[in-house]
Parts: sequence; structure tokens; C-alpha cells
Amino acid sequence: MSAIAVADRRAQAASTGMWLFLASIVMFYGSLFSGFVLLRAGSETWEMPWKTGLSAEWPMAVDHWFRTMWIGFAVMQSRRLSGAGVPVAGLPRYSWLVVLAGVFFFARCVYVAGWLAAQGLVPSASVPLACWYVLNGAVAVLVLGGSIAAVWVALERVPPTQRARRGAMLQRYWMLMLALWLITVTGLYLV
Amino acid sequence: MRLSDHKTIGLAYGVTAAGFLVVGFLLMLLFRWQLAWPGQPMPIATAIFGETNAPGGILLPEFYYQLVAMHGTVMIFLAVVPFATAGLGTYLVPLQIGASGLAFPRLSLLAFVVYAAAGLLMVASFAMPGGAANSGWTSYPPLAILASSGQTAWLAGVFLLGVSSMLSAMTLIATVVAHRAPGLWLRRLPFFVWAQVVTALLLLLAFPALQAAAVFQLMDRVAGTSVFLPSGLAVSNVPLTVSGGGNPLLWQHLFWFLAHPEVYVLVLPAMGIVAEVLTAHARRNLWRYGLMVNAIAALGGWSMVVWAHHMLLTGMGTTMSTFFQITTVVVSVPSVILLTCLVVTLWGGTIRFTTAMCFALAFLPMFGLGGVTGLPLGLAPSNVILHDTYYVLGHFHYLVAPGTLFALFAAVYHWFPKVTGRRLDERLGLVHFAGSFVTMNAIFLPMFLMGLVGVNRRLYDAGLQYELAEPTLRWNASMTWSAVTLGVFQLVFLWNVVRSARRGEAADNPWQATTLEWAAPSPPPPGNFVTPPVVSGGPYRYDEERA
Ligand code: HEM
Ligand SMILES: [Cu+2]
Repeated sequence: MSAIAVADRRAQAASTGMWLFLASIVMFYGSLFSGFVLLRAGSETWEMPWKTGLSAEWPMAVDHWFRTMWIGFAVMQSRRLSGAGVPVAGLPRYSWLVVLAGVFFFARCVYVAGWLAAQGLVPSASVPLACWYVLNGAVAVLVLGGSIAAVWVALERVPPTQRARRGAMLQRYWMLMLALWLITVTGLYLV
Repeated sequence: MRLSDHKTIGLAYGVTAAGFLVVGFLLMLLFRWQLAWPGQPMPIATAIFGETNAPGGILLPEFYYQLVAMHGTVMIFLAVVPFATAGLGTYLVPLQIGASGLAFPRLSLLAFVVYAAAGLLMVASFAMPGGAANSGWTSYPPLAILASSGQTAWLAGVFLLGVSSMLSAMTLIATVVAHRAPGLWLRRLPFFVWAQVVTALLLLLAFPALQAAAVFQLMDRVAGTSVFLPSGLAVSNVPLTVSGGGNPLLWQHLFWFLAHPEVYVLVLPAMGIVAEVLTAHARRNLWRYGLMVNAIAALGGWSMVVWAHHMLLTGMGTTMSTFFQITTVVVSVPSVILLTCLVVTLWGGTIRFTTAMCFALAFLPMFGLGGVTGLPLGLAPSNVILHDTYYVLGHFHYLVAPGTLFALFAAVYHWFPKVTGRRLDERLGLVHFAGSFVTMNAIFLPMFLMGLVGVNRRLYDAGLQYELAEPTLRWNASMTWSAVTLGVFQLVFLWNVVRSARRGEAADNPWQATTLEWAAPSPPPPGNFVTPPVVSGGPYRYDEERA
């Protein structure tokens, strides 16, 4: 088989694999989220702490804005990674920006969780809080995973076209992260 | 042998899963002893399991439930599913599509390592304080949340198994998508490949639900949350010190969202195997190949919307109940289509009664019996009577033991020459088949009657304390002896494998099968094919022999 045909097959396999991976994440997160929906629908009271006065002490809106921004930033930078209008030699730089955004997001999640726990609002305090920790935790871990993948893309020594292909896949992953995060926020805070 | 060669990984899966099959079988023999002779001391039991599990040679109830829960867990999650999917799939699918290897060999290797680690963790949990998981393979809360630390190992193991099956499913599907030989269009794929692809999709989409459930249950056990714990729960009249407010039924929904498709994960590869064996050994092309491919895809897809037929008695309401009863009846349509096509394939064939063929032929009625007995379970009125009785055990064991296991045996006899270049001994094989066929039925047929009488499953004493179970008690001894005899016949098989691997009759393609894997040398060298194959027709060319 010619070298081009082999490379084509590799690319096709990688892209298929990525879609399947994303599908399994959707199912994983979807299961967590539908667990949350079922619990919420089945209970008469749903006492999230910020509905009972805590929000004054805790700038919830700013916090969301922060975290949404970091993920959005990661999506933008990973979009560049796929090589759209950017000299390929400069690509690794964008990978590092993706890494940074992801790490900031994760750190902010840890900070918020720690802050809540310090007020005695630990997961075992109530089912709503358990849901809050699990859903946030799942997104945080998945985002961290995206950062690690970005480190890998940055460090790997591969031809530029191949790196661009990896970048395109990374971008799909981060788009999913953004979607999951927006769903989480909507579910936990707004509904 | 290269470590990331698909044949190495497939074999490693096969051998490891076979080892777990033995473990699951031995666990079963232990609790079958207790069922046959409840409360009577088992010689040497204390010596092996210690005073805490078997004082004076008598298995304690706590230990009995560990044995049962781990028998189910090991058999399904660690033995039969890995053998049927990642084992056979990783070894055979690249060969059957004319590929030189897997799309992601390193991921496949990683999947194996994660699977083996998860399995060891789960089995090793017998040594933890309080022993292994003891809340059934279904791990229903609240019981599972209050259980000893073995349950934590179980949950971690299940989570890892999800990771592993995601990796191997991804690899398998990507391999089929991107690495088929030139000319191998989708409608020329062997039916076994279709079965493996549908199965992989099921694992990939359904297992995450159990992983999510495992995360929630781990939180409940480790972080003290109440996701699955309702308010006002008391154990032995002592109120639990948890917040409560959770929902135990949520676990059941998430669990069965995986566990029902998991049944099809067992059955679909079995159908694939039987299709390959029947065609080659009856010299007949598959009857209605296209219909079968559609049916197996429909079966796989539809199996994801029937899960709550396991929960008909939970009071989930008539709307839900009606919905799931209807979907359950509908799912039998594609199964019947598949079974019919397989039977009609034999019509006018030149049947060779090889051991592989005998196992494949026996699969048909055994699977049929398992399927037919499932219908009354799927309808609420009869489910009320049959739920959680020995009838259920009879039903699903017919699907998984004489059903799927027989298909797996057929696969071993059929593809052994491919893997080793030698044939298994046919005379020993037929002894193995006949013995297994008789003893399997002697074990599982009585279970239907016991269930109809009303004996519950998961009873430590086989129902000794219930008057209604009285007439069935004496059957237990013969069932246990049949199980022991079944084991003896497996020793014949083991001996056959060990001996034939070294001294069996050399054979390259003893069945003159026409699917692509036989175009490679037996055993296939690294890279599989001497000259990369180019495909110009369908997988089965048996009818043409006759013309
Ligand atoms: C081959 C011989 C086998 C025998 C004689 C056997 C026997 C039994 C018996 C008697 C029970 C019920 C114990 C009780 O409820 O107290 C049981 C449970 C079970 N078996 Fe088997 N079994 C065999 C093979 C298998 C296989 C191959 C599978 C799966 C692939 C399997 C899966 C299960 C499961 C899931 C349970 C339920 C465990 C639970 O209640 O949590 N068994 N088996
Ligand atoms: Cu089911």
C-alpha cells in the first residue's frame, strides 16, 4: 500500500476513534446528569445553598463567568491548533494556551469546592450538594484530561499536517467540554 | 511474539478470561455444595476459607452471598464477556477483514492491562476485611452501600472494566472502519464482524451508565452522601446517620441500562460465531445475510430501551411499566428473525457433525429455550409470580451457559487450527460435547420447575425454611452432582487443548472455510497475510460448491 493510503487510513481510524470516545463521554456525563434530573424531579425541596442566602457572600455570577471564559478560551486556541489561518510552525504555542486555560478552570473548580466545604457544605450534607460535587467534579476531571491531551499534542514530534489533525480532534473534545459545562451550569444554578 | 500484535492481545484475553471462567465455576461449586446439603459441613472448607467464613466446615451465610455475588460478577464481567468480545474480536476481526493489525494496538494492550488489573482487584477482595462484595452481581442499594469494603473494590473494578471495554470497543470499530482489505465492502463482511461491531457499540454506549452509577455509589460509600439512600432509613431499628433524600431506584435504572445490553453483549458474538460455524460445517451460505445484519443491528439498538423490564415490581407506575413491556415483546422480533435465519441456513446443507458444529447446533435450541422463557418475565402479570425465583436463574443461564458458553466452545473448536495450526481431537471433543450437553440440562431444567413452585433465588438454605420448597429440596443434590460432572467433562476439554496444541493433527484450513481469516497461514505470522488480500466477493462461497 502506498504511504498516502496508509496515512489516510490512520487518519480515518483516529477520527472514528475520537468520535466514539466523545460518544462514550456523552453517555457517561449524560448518565450522571440524568441521575441528577431524576433526583431533583423526585424531591419536593431542593436546597442549593445559594438559594438560601449564600450568594451574597459568594459572587456566583463572576465565578461562572470565569470558568465559562476559560473553557471558551481553550476552545478558541484549540481551533487555531487545527491550523486554520495560522503558520503551522507556531502551533505548539497554542497548545500551551489550551493547557493553561484548562488548568485554570480546574484550579477554580477546586477552589470553589474547597470554599463550600469550609462552610460545612460538604457532599454528605444533602443530595443537592452531592449532585453539585459530582457534576462539577466530572467536568473538572474531564477538562484536566483535555489539558493533558494538549500537553501531549504540544510535545509530540510529528509532521505539521499530522499535528494539525490532532489539533482538530482536540478541538472537538473541547467543544464537548464547553457544551457539558454549559449544561451543568444551567442544570445546577438556573433551573 | 510482539506484545501489541492483535493475536498476542487476543490470546492474552482468551487465556485470562478462561482462567476467570474457572474461578467463577469453582465459586459456583462451593455454593452448590451448600445448596445440596444445607448446613452440613464441607470437608476441608475450614482449612481453605478459615474460621471466619466456614467455622466447623459450614459455610456461613455471609460467605455464601460473597460466593454468589462473585460468581455472577466473575462469570459475566470477567469471563464470558471479555472472551466473547475483546478475546475473539481482537484475534479474529483483523484477520476476517484482511488487515495486518489493529487501528490502535497500544490502546488495545492498555485495555487488556486495565481489564486484568480490575479482575485481580475484584477477586483479591475476598482477602479484604469482611470479604468480597456480597450484595449480588446487581449491587442494589441500600444493601450494597452498607456492605463491607469488598463492595468498594467491586465498584472500582467495574469502573475500570468500563474504561477497558471502551478502549477495546473503540479499537475494534476503528479497525473495521479504516483497515478493511480493498474490495471488502460493508456488505461483504463476515457476519461475525457485524456481530462484533454491534457489540462494541453497545459496550461503548451502555457501560458509561454503570460507571456513572459506580461513581455515585462510591460517593455514598466513601464520602457519606445519600444519592441512593432514602430518608428515614434504619438498620436493625437504629436510624442511619446520613442525610437521606436519595433514590435507590436510580441505581437500578443506571445499572440495568448497562446490564440489559450486557446480555446482548454475551449473545450477539455468540450468534456471530454460530453463523460462521454453521455455514462452514454445513456448506451453506448464510440465509438472508442482509436481513440478518439488519436484525442484529436492530437487536443491539433496541436492547437499549428495554432495561426497566427488570424493575416491573418496583412500583414505577403503569405508564412506565406498559412502555417497557411493549419494548420487551418487540425486542424478541429481531431475535426470532436471527434464530430462524440460522436454522434455515442448514436447509439442504451437507452437515458435518464435527464438535464445533455440534456445539453450534446445540446453541440453537438452548438459546431458544432461554429466549422463550424470557417472555413471561417481560410481562408484568406473570413477572409478579416469577420475579426473583429460580425460574429467572433457569431463564438466563440457558442464555449464558448452554447458550453463549456452547457458542464459545464452538468457536474454540472451529478456530483452534487457525491459532495453533493444529486440530483438536474430535473424539475427545465429542465426549466433551455430549457430557456438557447432558449435564447442563440436568442442572438448569429443574430450575424452571423450582421457580414455578415458588422457590426464591439467593436463598442460603435452598428454601429449607419454606414449606413450599419442600418437594424441590431433593433435586438439589442431583443438580450439584451434575455440576461436578460438568466440571469433569471440562477436564477432558482442557486435556484436549493442552495435548492438541502440541501434538494434534496439523491442519491449515481443515473446514475448507471461505472467510478471509483462513486465507492467512495458520498460525498467522506477524502482519497476518503473506500477500495482502484483495476481495472480490461475499464471505460465504459454499453454495457455489454445489453448482
Ligand atoms: C456452568 C455452570 C453454572 C452453574 C451450575 C451456575 C449456577 C448458578 C446458581 C445455582 C446460581 C444461583 C445462586 C443463588 O441464587 O443462591 C447462579 C447465579 C448466577 N449465575 Fe450462574 N452458574 C453457571 C454458569 C454461569 C455463567 C456462565 C454465567 C454468566 C455468564 C452465570 C451468571 C450468573 C449470575 C449473573 C448469577 C446471579 C448472581 C446473583 O444472584 O447476584 N452463571 N449460578
Ligand atoms: Cu433485560
